[in-house]
Amino acid sequence: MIQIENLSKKYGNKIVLNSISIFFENGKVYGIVGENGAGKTTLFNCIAGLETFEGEIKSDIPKLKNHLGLLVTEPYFFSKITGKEYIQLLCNARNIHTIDFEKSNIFDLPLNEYASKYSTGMKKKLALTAILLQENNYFILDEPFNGVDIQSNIIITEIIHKLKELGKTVIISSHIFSTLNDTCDEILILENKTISKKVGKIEFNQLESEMKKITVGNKIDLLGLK
Amino acid sequence: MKYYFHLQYKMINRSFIEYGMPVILGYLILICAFIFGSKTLFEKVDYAIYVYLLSYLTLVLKLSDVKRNRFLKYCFKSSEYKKIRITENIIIALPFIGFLIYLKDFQFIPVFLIIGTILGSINLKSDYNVTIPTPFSKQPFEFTIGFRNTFYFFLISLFITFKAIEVSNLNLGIASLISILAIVFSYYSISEPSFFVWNYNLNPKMFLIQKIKTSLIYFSYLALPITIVLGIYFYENLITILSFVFVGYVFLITIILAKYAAYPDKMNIIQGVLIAFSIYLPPMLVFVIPYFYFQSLKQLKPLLK
Repeated sequence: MIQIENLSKKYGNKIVLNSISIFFENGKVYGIVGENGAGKTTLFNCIAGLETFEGEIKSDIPKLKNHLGLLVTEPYFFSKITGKEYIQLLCNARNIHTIDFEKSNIFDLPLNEYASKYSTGMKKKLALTAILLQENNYFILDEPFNGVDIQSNIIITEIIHKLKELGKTVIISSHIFSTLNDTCDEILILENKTISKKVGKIEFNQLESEMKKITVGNKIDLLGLK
Repeated sequence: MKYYFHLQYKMINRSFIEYGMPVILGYLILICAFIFGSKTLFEKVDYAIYVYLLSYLTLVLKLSDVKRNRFLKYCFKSSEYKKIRITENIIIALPFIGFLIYLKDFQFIPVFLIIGTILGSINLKSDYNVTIPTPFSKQPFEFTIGFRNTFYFFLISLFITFKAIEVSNLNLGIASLISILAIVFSYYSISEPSFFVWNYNLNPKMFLIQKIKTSLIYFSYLALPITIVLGIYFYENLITILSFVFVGYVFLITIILAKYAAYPDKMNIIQGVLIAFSIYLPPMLVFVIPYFYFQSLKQLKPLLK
C-alpha cells in the first residue's frame, strides 16, 4: 500500500504538482495518464524519494524506497558495463548477490555485451529485468512498453499480471491506451497539476472515447489531407 | 566550421564555470600544469617523448569517439567534417609541439602532425563487440568501467616495473605504483546519476563504508602484484614500498569521500584545492578526511534516507 497525502511540488515559483492525494492498494495495477509535461515523471520521482516535495507519502512497509523498483523512461547505462553487470549492480544495491542470469534472462538479451550498445527496446528490457530481480514490493514503470517489440510487449503485460497476482503494487504510465486497458485496475488522469479523475476498469472504453474526442476533435480535418 | 570551434570554446569555458573557477584562471592553471608536467617529465623520465606521444594519442583517440563523429558527420559536409577532425587534432598537438620547440627537440614534431592528420582522416569502427574481461564484476561499477577504459595504462605500469627491476631503480618502481594510483583516482572523477545511489538500501554511512571497502580491495588487486614484485627485488626498501602503498590507500579513501562530498555535482574547486594541499602536505588529511566524510553524509542524506 502507498498512501500519498497532499503532495505538492514546486520548481522555484512554478507549481508542477498541486495537492495530490492517492491511495494505491496492494495487488492492484494503476495507470497514470497525462499529456507530455503533465508531471507524471515528477510524481514518480517524488514517490521514489528522488525529489523533495511537500506533503506526505506512507507505505505499509517502512522505507518505501528500499522496496521500490523504478523503471525510468530512458534508463541510463554507463559505457563499458555489460548487461549482466548492470543487473548485478542494481541487485547488489539491494543486497542480493546470487542471481541466476541464465534463468532470469527471459528477454534473451546478450547479457555479456556492453549495455550501452543495446537498442532502445533492449535497454528497457534490461532495466526491467534488473528491477524485477531486486525482489521489490512496489513498482513504478514509466512507459514500460515504449520502444519494445510486440513479443516483449506481450511478456511485459504478463509480468504485470503476475506482479498483481503476487500482491505487489504497480504504477504504470503509458501513452498507449491499449496497454493500460490490458493491465490496469484503475486509471488516474493527471491534468492541471493534480489528479482530476479516477476511472475503474468498467469505464475504460468510455474514457478512451472521451480522450479521443477531446484530444483529436477536428484537428485532423484542419490538416486538409488530400 | 567557425561556429563549431566557437561552440567548443564556449563548452570548455562552461566546464571551468561548472568547476567553480573563473575562466581565465582555468586556462592559466591548465597552461601552468601542462608546462610544469612537461618539464618534470622531460627532466625525470628517460623515455619522456614516448610518454608525451602516448598522452597525445590518448587525447586524440578520445576525439575519435564513434558516436561523437557520427553526429559531426550528420551535421557537416564530408569535406568540412574532415577539415574539422584534422584541425582539432592539430590544435591539440600545438601545446606538445610548442614545448618540443622550447626544448629544441624537432625530431618528433612531424610524428605528432602525422598522427593528428591520420586519425582525423580515418573513421574508427563502431561494430567491435569485444567485452574486455575484468576481475571486478562482483561489484561492478567504478573499477569495471575504469579498467576497461584504461587497461593499456596497466600494461605500461607493468613495463615500468619490469624496467625498474632490470635497471635496479626503485624510484622507477615507485613511479609505476603511483601511476596505478593516479589511474584509479580517475575512476572517481565522474558522478553517477542519482538513480544509482538511490537504489542502495543503505544509510549514507554504510554506503560510504561499502564504497571504500570495495575500492580498497579492488585497488589491492591492481597494486599488490607490483608491490610484491618490488618487495622481493628491493627487499631492503620494503618499508618504503609499503609506506607508499599505505599512503595510496589513504588517498583513495580521500578521493572517494571528496567525490561524495560534492555529490550529485562533480568535484569542484574546494575539493580540488584540499586534495592538492593534502598531496603537498599529507598530515592535512587528518582534517581533510573528516571534513569530506561529514560533507558526504550531508550530500547523500536526501537520497539514502
